Amino acid sequence: MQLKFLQKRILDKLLVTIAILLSVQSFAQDKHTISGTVKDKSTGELLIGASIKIAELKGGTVTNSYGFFSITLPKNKYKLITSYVGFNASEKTVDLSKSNELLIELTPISELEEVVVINRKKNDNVTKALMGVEKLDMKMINQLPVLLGERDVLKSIQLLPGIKSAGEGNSGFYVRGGGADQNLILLDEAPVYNASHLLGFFSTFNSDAVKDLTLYKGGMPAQYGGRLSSVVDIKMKDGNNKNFDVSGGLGVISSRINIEGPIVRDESSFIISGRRSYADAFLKFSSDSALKNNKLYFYDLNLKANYKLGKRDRLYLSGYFGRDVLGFGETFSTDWGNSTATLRWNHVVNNKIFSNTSLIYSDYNYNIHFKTGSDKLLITSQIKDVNLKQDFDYFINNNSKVKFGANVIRHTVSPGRVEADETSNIKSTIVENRNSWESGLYGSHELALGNKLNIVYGIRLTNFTTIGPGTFYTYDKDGNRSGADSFGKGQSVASYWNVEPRVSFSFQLNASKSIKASYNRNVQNLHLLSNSVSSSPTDLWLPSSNNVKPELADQFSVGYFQNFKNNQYELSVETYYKALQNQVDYRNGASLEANNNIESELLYGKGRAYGIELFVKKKFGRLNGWVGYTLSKTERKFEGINDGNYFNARQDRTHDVSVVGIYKVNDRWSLSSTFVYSTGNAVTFPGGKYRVNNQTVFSYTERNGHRMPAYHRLDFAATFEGKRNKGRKYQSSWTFGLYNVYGRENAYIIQFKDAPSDPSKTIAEQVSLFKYVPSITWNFKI
Amino acid sequence: MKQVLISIFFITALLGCKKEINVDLPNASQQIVIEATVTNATYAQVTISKSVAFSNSNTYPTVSGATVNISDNGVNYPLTESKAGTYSNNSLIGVPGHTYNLLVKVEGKEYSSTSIMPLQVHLDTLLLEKLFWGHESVWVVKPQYSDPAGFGHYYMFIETINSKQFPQFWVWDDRIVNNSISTIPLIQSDSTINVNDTIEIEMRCIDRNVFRYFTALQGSQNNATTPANPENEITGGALGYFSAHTTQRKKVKVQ
Repeated sequence: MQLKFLQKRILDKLLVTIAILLSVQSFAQDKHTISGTVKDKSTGELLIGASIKIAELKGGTVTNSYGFFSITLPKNKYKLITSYVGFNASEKTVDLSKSNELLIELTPISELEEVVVINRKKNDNVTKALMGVEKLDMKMINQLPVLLGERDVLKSIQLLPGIKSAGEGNSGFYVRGGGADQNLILLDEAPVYNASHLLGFFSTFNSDAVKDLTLYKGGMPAQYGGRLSSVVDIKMKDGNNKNFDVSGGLGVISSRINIEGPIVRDESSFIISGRRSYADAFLKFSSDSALKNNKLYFYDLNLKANYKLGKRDRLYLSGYFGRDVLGFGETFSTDWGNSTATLRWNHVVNNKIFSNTSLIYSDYNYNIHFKTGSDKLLITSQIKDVNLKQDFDYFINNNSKVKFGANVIRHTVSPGRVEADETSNIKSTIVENRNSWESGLYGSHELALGNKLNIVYGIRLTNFTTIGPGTFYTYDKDGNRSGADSFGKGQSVASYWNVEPRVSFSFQLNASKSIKASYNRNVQNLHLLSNSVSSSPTDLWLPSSNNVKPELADQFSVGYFQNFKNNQYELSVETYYKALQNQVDYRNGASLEANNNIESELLYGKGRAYGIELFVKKKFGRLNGWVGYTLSKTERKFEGINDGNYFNARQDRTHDVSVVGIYKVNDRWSLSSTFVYSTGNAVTFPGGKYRVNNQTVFSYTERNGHRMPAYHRLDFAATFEGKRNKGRKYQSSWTFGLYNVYGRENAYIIQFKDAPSDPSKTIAEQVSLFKYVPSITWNFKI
Repeated sequence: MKQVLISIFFITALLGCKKEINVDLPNASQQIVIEATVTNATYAQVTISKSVAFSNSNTYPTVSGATVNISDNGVNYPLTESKAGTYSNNSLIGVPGHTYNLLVKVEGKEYSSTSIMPLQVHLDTLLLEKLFWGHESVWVVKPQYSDPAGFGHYYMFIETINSKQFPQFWVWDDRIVNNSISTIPLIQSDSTINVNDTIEIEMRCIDRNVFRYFTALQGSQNNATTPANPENEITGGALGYFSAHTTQRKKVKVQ
């Protein structure tokens, strides 16, 4: 009760402060508003985060996720300069004698021009208050060398400082010491619960369908919530609303096709993008009949359509369906995948207020089929979300912008269900569903104070309530059941309120130098239980409950930002400290599958992570790319593990280096290369061995007290553009890649066992994957 | 499950390579290992040995001169050293439902533990089946028994192929097959069963602590989880376990 009162006090106080700050801005003056959208002239795609500057004044604004902007200024004539990476800047003079609506269309820079255009002023990275934000240019991602030629946005972001790969060729990643499950991965606002295919080797995002990717590793804006360490906000393309386009590609692993076009020219469009792998197609040619019956493939289907209802309203419907299928003849098969759907309604309330209402659905599930003799088994598990969300953007003036909104999510988790045939001896078992409500209310204010200081401050108030029906148990500290309570439908079992303050500011030292700082608190109420060392489709999401408390993270970061040579080079140094509470681990020997007492298997602890990230990027020119370096430490502490002392988390890697270079040889050939180096993961190796049950058993001393060998790898790719005929739309290109150029045998796992040749000895055996993997991909566009 | 998926990927990737490497492992201090059993069929036996460094050969020093006692409701059964490091008492045949207390005094330290012998579940028969698994078809043995009503029954299976113990064991509980006939297969990670082999299966009904001990041991040994010493119920800090379990063996010939 006292806590609630306190929270209300804090909230009241903040609302008053916001009101004061807002009123400062609105002194009487004859003011008018220019509002509108920024689009790609060639395709009609809305541009997210395009910057609009007023030549006569300092300051300006950027477009929101729907390409919308609004600026309010005193009556006068102004020159608006609109710019966006990869596009020619546009200049427009507007006479603000009355409020205006504007459509700004930017033309893409042609391949040829790209190397010479360097005189663009682009110093948002220095001036904006937000820090820890990375935005990747899809064009650049498409040029980077990747495993088996399969372009992958989630693998490309791992080349940035502070973001670490979860393993060889893995699309999972760790951000600033957080776990792989602490990243909020959104596809058109819908959370994707398992963003990987084939046990992590490929991500679920088909880059043909991706328009924009923004990653927040710190200073998360208040509109995002639900995960501790990062937000990856992926927006799908809207589709070309001017012309029909068919593009696609053939690769080693998969083929892709992408169709887009207008529904109503210049107004509405659609896009359909599909991808399917065909490893199993090769199995069919196998002479081995057992192998012939095996299945192994995945597919993705992205669909999106938008429709303009009127001058002020637009509807978007987007969907994603993806699945992995693995099967071995009749005995065993498994399939898993995500489905998401988002229905959005954009409404321009007036020229200063933009509203978006979203209805979002997300579902992740897996099935395992197993058959022996008369026993036929189906094991299933599912997590399902229905989310209703309302967001407002209020563009007060060119120095001040407010975002506020609310959302409510209904989570349904079906942890495990075993269904058996009637003829089978195995009994059907159902672990009770868990239902919960997650709601959030947020407000955030972006403010320029004078010419030098920019502030974004906000707050997010969240509630998580787990409700019945169901039986909820309590456990003693050894994990033995100590009580049970039955709850009726809709009855509250446990409810958690949290206040998440978020603040970041930048202070500009001069036009090309700034310092920034941020603090944010994040809360996570869905916990991924994985009793294994790599990601698995059967990893289980568990909501907060009477036993499991919300995970909390507090992150402080400070950074220095500088641009050189007319913004051609960008340098940043960021440091962070992150404290984690209520982290979840499991007891030794825990069985997580189909277990009604799963919460008895859990341990709760805390963590800390700190580090420094250096980043130097060359943004334009024939040669561009970057160098990133991270020095960091990540630790966890659990009672009952390592005598209750801090131990290195698995992802604790002291040094992490990545070098990325892209070189444009001429207008037909471009070359790219990446190099990565990192300290090996912290792992637990045996301290000795003994004999139990006539078998060699290893003994262990310290959790994660050893290191895997250092990981390093060089990749290379060359892209050849086909000849372009004037007046013909057809284009094609070839990409040749070589993954792991010098054939480094990086350790994927190290296992200890009796020597197969001499059972009186034990050996350490290293398993490596992917030594010199060549690839070839052909892309086309009609 | 996880292991299966990972091995499937390895099979299909065909890109992996394995090699023996040298890992510099600091020598942990030697620890006492106690492996103690009371069964309803044969005599009670306790072996005491010591752990060795990873780089040593697989010979483990036996520990002699210990005082070993197992008690059943106040009745003491002292165990005597029958050969170096092995202590036994021929008159202690376990009774299902009874609670057994172990006390070991060795090298100036005391170790104690408790185990309850579960009621015996009868192993009815051994079924054989050819499974199509991966590239090949493999033989599996399916022990058939009727799980009693109520939860909380734990089973362990040990396989001997042509008189040689197979280096893998299976433990499970009755979460999936409760109050029903179980024929869960004993799937080998590296299949070694051929036609004409004689296979002997020992089925043990074990208590919850022993079940958790072996589940954890299995998880740690096959890299499925972050490895750790399995928690046991032995106070004093020894490795190993104390299990009072029922035992039953059956044989089958593969044909």
